[in-house]
Amino acid sequence: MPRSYALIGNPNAGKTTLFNELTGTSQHVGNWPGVTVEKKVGHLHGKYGEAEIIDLPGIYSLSPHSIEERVSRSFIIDEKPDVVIDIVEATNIERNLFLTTQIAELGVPMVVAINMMDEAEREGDIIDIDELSLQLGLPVMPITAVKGEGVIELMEVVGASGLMDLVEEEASHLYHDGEDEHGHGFHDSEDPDEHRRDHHSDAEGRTNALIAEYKYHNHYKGPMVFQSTDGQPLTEKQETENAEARYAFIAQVVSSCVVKGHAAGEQNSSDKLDRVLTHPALGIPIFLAVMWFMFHCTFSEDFLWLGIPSPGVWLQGLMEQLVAWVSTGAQAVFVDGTWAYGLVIDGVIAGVGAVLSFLPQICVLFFFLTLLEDVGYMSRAAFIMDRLLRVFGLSGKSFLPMLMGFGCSVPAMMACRTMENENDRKLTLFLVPFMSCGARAPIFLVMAGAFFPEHADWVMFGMYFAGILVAVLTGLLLKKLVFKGETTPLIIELPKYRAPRFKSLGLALWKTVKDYVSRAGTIIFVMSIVIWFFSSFGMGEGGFGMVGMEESLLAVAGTALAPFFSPLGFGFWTAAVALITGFVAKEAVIGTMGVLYKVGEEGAEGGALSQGVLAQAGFTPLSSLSFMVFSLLYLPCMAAFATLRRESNSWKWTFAQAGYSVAVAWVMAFIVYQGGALLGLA
Amino acid sequence: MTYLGVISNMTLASARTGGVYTITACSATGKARARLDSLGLVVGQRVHVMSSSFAGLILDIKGSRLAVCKDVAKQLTVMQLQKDVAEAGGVDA
Repeated sequence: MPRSYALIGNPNAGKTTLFNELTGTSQHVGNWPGVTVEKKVGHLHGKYGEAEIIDLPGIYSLSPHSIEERVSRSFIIDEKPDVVIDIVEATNIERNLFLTTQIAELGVPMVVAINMMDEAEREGDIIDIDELSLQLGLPVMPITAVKGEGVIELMEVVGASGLMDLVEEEASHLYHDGEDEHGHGFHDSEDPDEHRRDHHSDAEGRTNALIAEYKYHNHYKGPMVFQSTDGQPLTEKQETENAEARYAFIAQVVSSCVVKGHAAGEQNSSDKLDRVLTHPALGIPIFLAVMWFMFHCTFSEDFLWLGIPSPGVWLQGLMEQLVAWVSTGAQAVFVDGTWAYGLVIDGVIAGVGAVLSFLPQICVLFFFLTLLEDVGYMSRAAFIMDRLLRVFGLSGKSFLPMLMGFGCSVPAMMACRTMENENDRKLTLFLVPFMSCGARAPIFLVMAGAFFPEHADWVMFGMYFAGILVAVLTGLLLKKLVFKGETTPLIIELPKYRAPRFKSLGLALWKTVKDYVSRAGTIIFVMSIVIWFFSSFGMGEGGFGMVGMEESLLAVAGTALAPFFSPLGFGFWTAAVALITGFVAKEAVIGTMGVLYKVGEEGAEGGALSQGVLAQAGFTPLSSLSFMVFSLLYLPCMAAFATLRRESNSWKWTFAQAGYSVAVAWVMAFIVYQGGALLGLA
Repeated sequence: MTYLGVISNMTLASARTGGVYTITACSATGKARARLDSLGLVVGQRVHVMSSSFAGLILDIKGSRLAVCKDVAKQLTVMQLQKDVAEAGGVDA
């Protein structure tokens, strides 16, 4: 069995930086069983020893009130890592030590790493590491993870064969001053439970070494606290008493080991910046300007009015060329008209290629998001948007994903990862697909252009607004029915502003690319083949085989589905088929119509879908409106569907979203069509 | 530092920018209470208000900056430390 270390600490304490330093790119990212909390596992770089390292979620406490806290707590208690490395932010020792005391109380062998020592020095803080170690009864090591300083020394202590043996040898001086009071690692002949009872518990049942299985527990000198051992949660009074005891101990430790360079309440440079960036009146306009710039860099065809495409658009063009090049290359290999040609060219390359073509823009968006997170702006954005979103039952952290939903649901849902509250995250994931993404715009452009040429802009605006309205109402509904009483008031730490670190930016970007490509290679690959099969095969003249789309299984399905759309005003098979192919990518709705209505050789040219063509197919101005509403709201596309599955880690939630969105789309389109008919519009 | 006088019994929601307060009671329970506890918003804790507006408050607690919405601030009863002492600063334990 390789040794296992767990990494734990407050958010912003530099946990990710240390994890990256320790493991490089050899990390595996997954989920903790049953929850959407991210689980990162990696192997130590050779120079740091031989062990598996588990990155626990960033948390402020181990009290079992949030999923992240429960995951961390049960990992330590059930999996019993060999050593827990607790990262403490040097400039924020007092608050960070609250978690430290809670870990230490479990009795687990641990090492405290005081991170960002360079920043503390710059602030003029003085930290007496040896004294801190003595007072806590735990090994304490100073590090600066960003620069890799002290990490070797830290890992030497962590990896010392039998860390607590080492402590035992030094019992006479450094870590073990309170031996009589608190006992020590018990001997082989000793019964662990007995040892804990005798040395680590008091008359009221409190303990400061919960897990008896550790032969060498730590030598923590903090107060004994109430622990829930029989699955019964602690009473509120016990929890409050625990917190008070811990803070009293911490205050005493800090007062003798730490001298702050700045007085409490004194304005530092971050505070000065915050006077502008979180200003009650200026904060929101500044945030919107930042967002505008981010979208501009990602989606604009006319970058900074220079007449050149933005980085996102430029890179997307390159990616499309690459896909086209692969497609051309493949066309030379296969014989046109055969099923193999169709499968590879029209199925796999067209489907996977369409999804991959989003990748560059997703990367650009993610670059900016990671940058904003890294410099510390994201928590400010959540704070300034919170009041506005609270009205709709959402938290400030939902704003950004919702806004990104106007671009593309996929990165928007991926951005939900920054939300620490699981319920908020699930709720936001559910709502994001209602924000009208860029791929839906062509549907509105074509339809509104054909039937409402005078008011196309208003129709467009109305569609975007309808999406927001549905999202808001759905949010309120879910808050009432599913997440009852789960209003999470905003308390958010505002970390100090920092210069971006390009190494971590690069790693985050690489992770995004890897995630996205692996998804395109699996679920989307399979779905593309399925859709292609249904659109190319059917009962032709010579029996079952390859046929045109009009005779395909998809057309059969469209005909079967058509009556379902009759009350909405577009109960004909072509509309149904267009909507089905829209599941592959929303752009395909218009493309399919082009093919089915045989407009031009290219078919996909939306402009050729004139009012005449659409009217001949069966659309009226009113039914075009209801069709637009339906397209806006029904099913997310398959890339979004797959992302929702992955980010929510739940098929149930994914299907709930899909089912709900179809139902809402139907009802809304019904209201538009039938309501319009009642008002005498047609 | 000694408390030089309680000016009024108020909640943190009506605190003003630059003020220094001590938390005297907390009405939050359960999960919300645990979260306040873990972030250091406990009875007896001194709080420096870095900014206060309709949008919420930014607090200096144990050297870290916490942004809280008004709903959270309303759950915390505080007493104000006398102004000039607070402004003199630097007398913290």
